[in-house]
Amino acid sequence: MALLEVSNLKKIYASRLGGTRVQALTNVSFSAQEGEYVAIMGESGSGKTTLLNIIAALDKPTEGDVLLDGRSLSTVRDKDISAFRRDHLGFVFQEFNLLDTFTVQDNIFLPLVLAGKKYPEMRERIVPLATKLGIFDILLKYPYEISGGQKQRVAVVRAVITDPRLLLADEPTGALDSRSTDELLDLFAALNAEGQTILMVTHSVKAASRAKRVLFIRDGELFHQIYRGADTDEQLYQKISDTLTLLATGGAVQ
Amino acid sequence: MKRGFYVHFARDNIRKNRRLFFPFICTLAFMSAVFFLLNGLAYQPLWQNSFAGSSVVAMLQFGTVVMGLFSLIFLFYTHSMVIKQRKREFGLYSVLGMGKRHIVRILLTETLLTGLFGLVLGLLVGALFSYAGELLLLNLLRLPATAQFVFPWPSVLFTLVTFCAILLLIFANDARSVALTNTIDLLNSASEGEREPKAKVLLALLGAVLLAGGYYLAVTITDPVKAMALFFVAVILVMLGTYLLFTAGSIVLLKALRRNRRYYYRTNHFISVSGMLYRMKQNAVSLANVCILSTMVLVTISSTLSLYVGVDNIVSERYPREFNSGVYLYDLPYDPACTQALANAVDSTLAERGMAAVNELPVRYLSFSVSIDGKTAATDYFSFEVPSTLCVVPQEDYNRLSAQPLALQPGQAALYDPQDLFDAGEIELTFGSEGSENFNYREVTYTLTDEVETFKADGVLRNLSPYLVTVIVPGMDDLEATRQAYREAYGGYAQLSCYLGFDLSKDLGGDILDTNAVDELRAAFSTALYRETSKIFGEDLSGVSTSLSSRELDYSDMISLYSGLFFLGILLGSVFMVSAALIIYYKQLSEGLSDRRRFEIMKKVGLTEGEIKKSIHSQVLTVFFLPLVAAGIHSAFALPMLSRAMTAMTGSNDIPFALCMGLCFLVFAVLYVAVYGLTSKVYYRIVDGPQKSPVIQK
Repeated sequence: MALLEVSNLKKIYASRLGGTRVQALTNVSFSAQEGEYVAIMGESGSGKTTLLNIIAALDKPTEGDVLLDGRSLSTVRDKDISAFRRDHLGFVFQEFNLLDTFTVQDNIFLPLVLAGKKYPEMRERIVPLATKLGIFDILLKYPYEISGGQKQRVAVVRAVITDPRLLLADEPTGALDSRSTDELLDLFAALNAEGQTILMVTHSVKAASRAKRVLFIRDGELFHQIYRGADTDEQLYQKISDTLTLLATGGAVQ
Repeated sequence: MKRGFYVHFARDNIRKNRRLFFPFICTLAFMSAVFFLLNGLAYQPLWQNSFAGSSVVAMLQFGTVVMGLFSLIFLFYTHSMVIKQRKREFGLYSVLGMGKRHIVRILLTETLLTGLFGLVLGLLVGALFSYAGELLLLNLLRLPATAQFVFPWPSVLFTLVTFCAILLLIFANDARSVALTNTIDLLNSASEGEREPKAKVLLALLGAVLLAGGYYLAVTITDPVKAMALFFVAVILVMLGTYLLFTAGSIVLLKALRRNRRYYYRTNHFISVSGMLYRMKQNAVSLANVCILSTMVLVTISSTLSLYVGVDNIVSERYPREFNSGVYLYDLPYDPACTQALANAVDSTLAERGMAAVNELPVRYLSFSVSIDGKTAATDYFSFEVPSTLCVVPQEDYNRLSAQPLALQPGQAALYDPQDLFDAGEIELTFGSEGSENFNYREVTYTLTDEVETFKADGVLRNLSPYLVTVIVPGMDDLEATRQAYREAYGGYAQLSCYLGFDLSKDLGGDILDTNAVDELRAAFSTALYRETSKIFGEDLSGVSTSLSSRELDYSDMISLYSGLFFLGILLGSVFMVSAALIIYYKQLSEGLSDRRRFEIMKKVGLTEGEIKKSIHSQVLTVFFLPLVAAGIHSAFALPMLSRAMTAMTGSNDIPFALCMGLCFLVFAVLYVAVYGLTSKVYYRIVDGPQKSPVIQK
């Protein structure tokens, strides 16, 4: 059974007075297996963030359903949705979303504290992760005292410290310089190599070229997908570029 | 640029930022209304022909000055809150190509427009309520509400001039701050200052010590005169302590909580402690301001109210009868004929006016300043202590007033000592000092046999000093022996008073309410009394003085003073109250914006809607009610000191101060909760609401 099943998603936004209606997703279906690393690409306004928000249970689809481990998100009651999110999903955002009122360590502890974990256990979890990601020395600093690349690594630690079934990343490299981008992508690859399932929405061909599978979305529909197969990163990069050119010029892929 | 552009632009700005401007305009209107009301009432012609008038006018003018100063400070403060929120907007204008000059001109137009709205509204409201204010004041003065109201045009002008000057100062300050900041700083100003606050343990400790010191002074000082003198010291200590504890103390406490891991890492503590830490850093000073303002409201209103309510007690203690009259002998020996001379003078003066005295109450007493150390009352004191007054009264005069007559034997004495200054079985009075070149040393000792609980003429005696001990001795001989000892020590007699209280006989139509009539009566009485006493002491009467005063007249004097104070107390109290509410409002507004972002993030990380609501609620509640609780505690500690100071001021022990304070606190708390309800709605709308940036709706 697939870890994630997305079937026939449709999302229509209506303005508050019901005047204009915008169709963000027309019909999207795909699935992801455990241990996969999927990148979703598309232009601005193609519906990729909407898709991610629905998978993250931050938004509800107009039609269709999302199954995580065979459990439909629509069956999760509203008041349990936050707990569900923090138990099963990890998030990495473009703008890091760290709280300036907490130290780095407390930012990482946030989902654990919400889950009612005790300090010794939290400490036990954070030490190996923080060491591995090279942020052990800055655990007691505040977000405004560290660099963008460090902030994003902190966000990654916060996302994976709960051992989520699925790690969702929304433009994780969007606010990073090229060196930090490379570091972060290496990190994702390493996490994936350890078995972490990752779903990443991105603009960046470089970021997408590190995934095992790339989905292209256009005008609210899945348009194409590329499997890495035996390709190297460079080869995959080339294939993605070609596809994007096709997408931009409006051609169809056979 | 096109004419009318600035006006149009400024009007648009005000409308778009109405959440910021509306309260500012309201404050301006309210402050100018109160200012106009006070100033306009002082102009009313009715005060000129009323004996209460001059003190009422003085009070109203004093209130106008206080109001003007407070308006200046507070409008400055409120407007700085408005500008702080709008710096980004100015930065944007600057990026879009507006020069500093244009921005300043927009600011000027905005100031003119808000000033126009606020002042017109204020004057209208002020004018509407002026007549009601006059009626309220007349009612408080217990005067008939028949006086006509004259519209005070000069006050309109005065109010306009004062507030325009204030607005101009505010504008100059804004223009300066905009001119001195560059575009990038303007744009970024909203996001600055999110550093973690430092824990200043020393300052927190200092705050605690200062506060404790203030409280200690308030509780331990039993000397009323000292209480009055040191009240302001205590106030300053408590104020400083409040500021330090709110700013440094709160941070130290929260950091200590954070260090305690078992406490800190729990869902609700985790979010509230870190949130409060951040909140206190931004809000501590405002909260301390709210706390101090609230305490001022409570103290002002409750003390003026209690004086107003207590005026009957104060007067009836001072006047056991409708009139007080007396003859005082300084460096003259006592003569039993003095009492008769006093009675004769009263009788003859009244008889000439077709009146007669009834219910006469004569009391003779010897009085001098002493310092008391529990057993000995020394006249030769040298210390910074406020001296007490010691009165010696013959038991004959005491018994005339008491249901339980004393029967003192020679050498014995009874004590009336409501403040418990003496605690010995023997009373030792010492005069002069041993081994002095100038004075001789004498002492008089009595065995204490009785301690009396009440003495009906004590209000008369207490006029001398709030700190009074009365020694009742067997007879006039003992009184004279004491006086003799005083003379032998110092070479002159201590003051001996013959007092006579009396009512006017109603049968003869006695009723004197008029200042002039009492003045005239006093002059006639004085002449008659000098004529009588010259029969005893001869022509040289330099050692004799006389007095006559009317309860009715003193009462109206006091009523006008205290009701004027109370009226001011209500007005200023409500101004302070509105100010506190406004500080709270602006705080909620600016906080809602930054909290919104934080809770958005927490929601994404997995905080449930319910947990967010609970956490916001508990933080807002803590921040909001901390000042109220602190103000309540401050007032409770001020209670003993203030009531002592009031005793010193009025000579009365019987002012219902605690009751008034409790009542004021209740009313205040209700109003405070109402303000909370109103302002927190704005806050929740911002935190929950759909708009991205509700203040700068661009």
